[in-house]
Amino acid sequence: MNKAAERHAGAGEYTKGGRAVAKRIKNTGRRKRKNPPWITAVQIAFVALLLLWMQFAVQNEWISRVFVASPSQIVEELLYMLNENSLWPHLNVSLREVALGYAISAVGGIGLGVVFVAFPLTEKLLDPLMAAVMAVPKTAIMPLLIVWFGVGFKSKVVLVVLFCFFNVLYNTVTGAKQTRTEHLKLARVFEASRTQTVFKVLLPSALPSIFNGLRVTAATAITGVVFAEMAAARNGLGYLLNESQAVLNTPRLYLVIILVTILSVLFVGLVNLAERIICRRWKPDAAV
Amino acid sequence: MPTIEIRNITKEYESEGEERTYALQDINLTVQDGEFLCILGPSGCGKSTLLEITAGLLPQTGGEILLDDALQSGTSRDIGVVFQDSALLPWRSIRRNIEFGMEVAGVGREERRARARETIEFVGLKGFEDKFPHQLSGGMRQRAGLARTLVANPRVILMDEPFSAVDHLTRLTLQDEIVRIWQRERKTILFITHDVAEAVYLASRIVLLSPRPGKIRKIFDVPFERPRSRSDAELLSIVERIYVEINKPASDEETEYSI
Repeated sequence: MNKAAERHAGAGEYTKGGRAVAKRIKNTGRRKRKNPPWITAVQIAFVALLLLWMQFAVQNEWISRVFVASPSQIVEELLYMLNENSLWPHLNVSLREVALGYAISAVGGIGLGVVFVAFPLTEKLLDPLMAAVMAVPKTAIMPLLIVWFGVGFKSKVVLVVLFCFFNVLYNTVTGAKQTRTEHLKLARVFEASRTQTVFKVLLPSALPSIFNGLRVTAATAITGVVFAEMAAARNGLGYLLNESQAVLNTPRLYLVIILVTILSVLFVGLVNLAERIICRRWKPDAAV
Repeated sequence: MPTIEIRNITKEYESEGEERTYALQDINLTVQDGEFLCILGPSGCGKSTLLEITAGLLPQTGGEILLDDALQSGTSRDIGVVFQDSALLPWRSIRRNIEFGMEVAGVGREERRARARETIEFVGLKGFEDKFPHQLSGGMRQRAGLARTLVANPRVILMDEPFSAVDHLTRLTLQDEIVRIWQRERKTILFITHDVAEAVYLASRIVLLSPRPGKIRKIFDVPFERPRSRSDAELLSIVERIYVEINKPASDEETEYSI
């Protein structure tokens, strides 16, 4: 609700509160304090125990093989699929869908965000429409997307875009609205043009918020693509999950879940890396 | 020769259901060429409002601002502003911050570099040009903010309590610095402060504002050569006179209310 209120405030108003919240989120999200070694040891031991339990529980049939796969089964399944070359085609398709959908969302979201910021009237005009589209649970649109774009590549990309685009857009716009009033006055004192103000002041101010959007969206993109492929597809990791479930191939289910998780973590890591490279030398939230 | 003329400037805010409140009422002030003028007043007396109107950042309700006898509307590259908290852009290095105004004005890269280098040296930031704002102390950031204004070479510099965010000792150094800059560049400076001693040390003329509505209460001349001594008896007597004026009730009418 707060976010919506901020959007309705129009580009002329600049909230301080949002910035403070963003700062707090940022500070907790990054630079974790180092734990004493024994805590790490306990954590590792816990995971190891869990894996061991899975291994023995499955081997000794304490629990049905339909429910749990042992680590060795999962590794075996991985090797089998690699050997058969039955994993890469699916992974490849999913990666391409995510990459294209995410790229369109990032470029389009930031691009339209810039237009909204530069011409507040466009935001006012399009805001209700955007809010309406945003309010639709995206998963409900999937069947329609299949009707429109088929069960192939296109419908997946479109769903990823629907999942990600608005997030990037509104992070760009709210980020720009958090630009410090002094910085805007500065631009006016030096008689910067609208374009100069947008690109030299508003967008750089929005950058931390844009990256927050891109970070959240990175994980959402993976979720979106897996969901879309589970709904209807002939290939991809989501399809693989459906297929494995149908034939009760539990180790393969575990394998794909792990794979999707790794992808998601890697993707978010990649965005973090990009942020660190771009914002390497300045602290976005440093009080200056 | 007057550089800036402030004529009958009034700023009122209308709030719903209430009477209008005057932030500034009928301010008349002429700032001479090369003058160092301090506007002194307690917080809430509208001195920042007056500065923003002069800078063209805020529209006035009535009255006009003249720069070199020409009517001003909006901002002008002839009027530079030094902000209270330096307002450096955190994503730019000090050098690039100082170049901001020239960059916006379309000054070529070579010239930008050269002029920035000279100014950086002048304000004592040599060796820090590639640092980022968060790596500098408050005093140094304020020097950078000053350099950013100086390098654009405006006719008039408006300063909005520029030293209020730094510690006392740094503040004294920056005051000396600003006197040195003013003596060399002979810019017209309009300096806003709430610190009486600072105003007396810096200014050739002090305009005392009183709050609600913001009005000119009295103007003090400080006709002494620079550099001045902070412990000079004549300066201290002016400080004394200003304090007396501030503590004196504005009019009989007001006395009744304050009892």
